[in-house]
Amino acid sequence: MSSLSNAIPFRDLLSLDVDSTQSRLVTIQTRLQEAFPTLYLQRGVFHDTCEMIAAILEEQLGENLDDYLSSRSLMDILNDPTLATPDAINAVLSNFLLTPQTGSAAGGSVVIVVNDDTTVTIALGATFQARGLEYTTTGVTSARVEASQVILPTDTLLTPTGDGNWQFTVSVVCETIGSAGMLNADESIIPDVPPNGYVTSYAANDFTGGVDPETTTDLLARQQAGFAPPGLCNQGNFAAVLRTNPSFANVVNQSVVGYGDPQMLRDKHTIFPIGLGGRVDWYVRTTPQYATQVLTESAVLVAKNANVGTWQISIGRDDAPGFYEIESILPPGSSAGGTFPITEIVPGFDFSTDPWHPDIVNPLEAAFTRYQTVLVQFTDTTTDVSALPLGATQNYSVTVRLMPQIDAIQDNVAQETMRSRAGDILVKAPIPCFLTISFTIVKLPGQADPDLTAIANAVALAVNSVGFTGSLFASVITAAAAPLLSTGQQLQNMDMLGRIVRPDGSSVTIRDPQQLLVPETPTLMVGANTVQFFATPDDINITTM
Amino acid sequence: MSTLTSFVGRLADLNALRTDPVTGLVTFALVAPPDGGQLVVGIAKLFQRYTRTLLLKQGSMPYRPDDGCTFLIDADSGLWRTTFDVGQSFISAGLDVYRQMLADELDTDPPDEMFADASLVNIALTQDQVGITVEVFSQAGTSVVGVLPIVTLPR
Repeated sequence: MSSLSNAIPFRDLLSLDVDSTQSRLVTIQTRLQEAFPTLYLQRGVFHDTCEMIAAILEEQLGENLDDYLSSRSLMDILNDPTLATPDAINAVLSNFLLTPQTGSAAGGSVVIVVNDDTTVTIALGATFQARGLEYTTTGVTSARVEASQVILPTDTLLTPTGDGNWQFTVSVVCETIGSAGMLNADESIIPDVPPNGYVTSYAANDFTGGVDPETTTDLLARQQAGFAPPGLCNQGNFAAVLRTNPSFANVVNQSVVGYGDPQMLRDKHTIFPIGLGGRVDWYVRTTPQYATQVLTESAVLVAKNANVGTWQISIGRDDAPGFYEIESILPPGSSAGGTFPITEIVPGFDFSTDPWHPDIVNPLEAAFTRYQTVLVQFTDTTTDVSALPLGATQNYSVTVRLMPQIDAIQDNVAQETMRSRAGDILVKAPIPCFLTISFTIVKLPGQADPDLTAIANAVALAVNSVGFTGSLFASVITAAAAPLLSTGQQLQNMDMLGRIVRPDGSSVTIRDPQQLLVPETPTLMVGANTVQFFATPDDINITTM
Repeated sequence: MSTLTSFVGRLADLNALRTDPVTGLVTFALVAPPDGGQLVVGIAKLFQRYTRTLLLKQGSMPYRPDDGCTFLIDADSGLWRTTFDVGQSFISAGLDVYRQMLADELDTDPPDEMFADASLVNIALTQDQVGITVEVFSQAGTSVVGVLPIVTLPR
C-alpha cells in the first residue's frame, strides 16, 4: 500500500461512487448470507455496522486501484492531469527520459545611491526586499572613492549621479525560485540594513534567470511535443532542438518560417522572382516578457547647432543582440524621465569574423537578429557643446528592449556540428506587438474592489502566452481575469491597442475592443507566424465602477 | 426470554437494544455485561428494526440517503416545544417508516417479524430529554412496548 498511497491521494470515504458502493454492498450481503445463512443481513445491526463499512472500504480500495492504474497510463493522465500525484506522473514520464525542470532563481544588479563619497561595503548575504521577496547579495562589494583604490575583484567605483549623489552596483539573487523574482529595470529594491548615506536603490536592468519550476501540465505538454527528434527540419523538430538543450529549454513560443511562407524573403535572392527554398527564419520567444537592458554607449559629437549638439552612437551586434527599439537615451545616472530626441536611425548588419553566417543581403532581413547593428543620432538638449569640437565623445545611458538569448541560439545552430546542410537558419526575435489594454470592472453596489494587481498580472501572463496565432481575442483577457472576480462582477469597455514594431523600424497601430488582428504585410515579414503580443502588468489599465 | 427453538428457521440479527424489564427503558448497547453480545429474532428483532428506522435521520447514512425519517430532524431543529409537537413529528414520520419497514420484508418472513403498525403510547417531556413510549405491532398480532429516551439538548 505504501507505493499506492504515495502515487495517488486516497479517495474520501464519503465521496465514493454511490451506485458502485451499493453494488458492492449487495455482493457482500449475498456472500455473507451464503456463508452464514442464519443471520439477518437485510437491514439491521449487521447491515449497518459490518456490511456497509466493508462495502465502503472495498469501494474506496477499488477506486484507489483504478486511480493507481490510471496514473500509470499516459492516455488517462493526458485526459486528467489532476488524477495522479506529480511523483506518479514523473515516474511515467521518466519512461520517455523526461524529468521536470526545477526552475531557477532570478538575479541581477542593484544600483545603490548614497549621498556621501566615502567607502561603502555591502556584505555577502546582505538582504534586500522587493515584491515581497527576499534577495541576497552574491558577494562582498566595496564601493571605493578613487579608481586607484579599486584593487580587488570585490572592489567597485563610486560614480557621481549628476545630482550630487553617488552610486554603485551590487549583484543579488532572489531567494525564491521562479519568475516572480524577475524585477524590471528601475524597480525599487530596498536593503534591510541600509548603508551609511543611503538615498535609494533600484534594479539596474531587468533581472534574468528566474524560471518557474515545471508543472505537471507543462511536463505533459513537453512530453506530447517530445516525440519529435531534435533536428533542424520541421516545426516539431525545431522545437525539440530547443527543448533538449538545457540552456533554451524554457523557450515560450517558436515559429519556423520557410519555403512557401509569404513572410520568407531570403529565399528570393536570385534573379528569378520566386522562392527557391533553402532558407529558414526561426522566430523564437525565449521569455514571456521582453527584457529591458541599459547600455553605456560612447557617443561622438557629429554636428552642432549653436550650443546644442547632435551625437551619434553605434550599437554593435554584441551590445544588445536583436534588440527591438530604443526606449531612451539619457546621461549616465540621470533620474530624469523621457529621452533625448532621436533624429536618425541607420540600421545595418555585421557578420564580424563568423566562419559561417546566414544569407542576409540587407538590414531589413537582419532586423531583430544577432547580426543587427544600428547607428543612432540624437540631440542632447542639456549639454552645452559650444566649446566642444566635432568628434568629441561622451557617455550616454541607452535603454533598449530586446528578446534575450537570440544570439546564443543563433550561435548554437550556426556552429559547425549543428548547422543544417540543407539551408541556412536565421534566428530572430519575434516581431513585437506592444500592447496597452484597458477595461472596466463593474461591481455590485457595496462590493470591494477585486485584487487589481493580481488581475493585471494574470492578464499580462495570458497575453504573453498567446502563440503565433496572428490575433488576440478579448476572451483571452476575460478568461484570465474571471477567476479573480467576485460574484456579480463583470468586465466592460474593453480596449486593446497594439503597436507593431516592424523590421524596417516603422510602427503600425492596431486597435479593437474584441479582436486584435495582425495585418499581413509579407514584404516586411509581418504576419500571423512572425508576430507576438507583449504586455507588462503596467500596460494593463483597469478601472472599477 | 428467547429459547433455542425461537431461532429455528429464522434469520438472527445482532441485538443492539437492551430493555429494562421493569421500566421498559430502552438503551443501545451491542455488548452489555455479563453477556458478550446477543442475537435477536422475532418481535424483538422487529422492534429493533423499527427503532432503527424511526431514530435514523434521513440523509445521515452514507450511501443510503433515503433510509430513516424526519423524526429526529424535527427534534434537532427545535420544533419540539410541547408533547403535541412530538406527536405531530411522529405522525408525519410514520409514513416513511411504514414504507421502509414493508420494503425490507419478504413474504416468507415469520409473521411476528413483519410490521403491522406502531403507535405512540406516551410522551414524557423534560428540559433536556423526551421519553417516548412506542408500541410496535406485528402481523402475528403480537406487540412490544419500549421507552425510547431522546436527548434534545444540543450536543
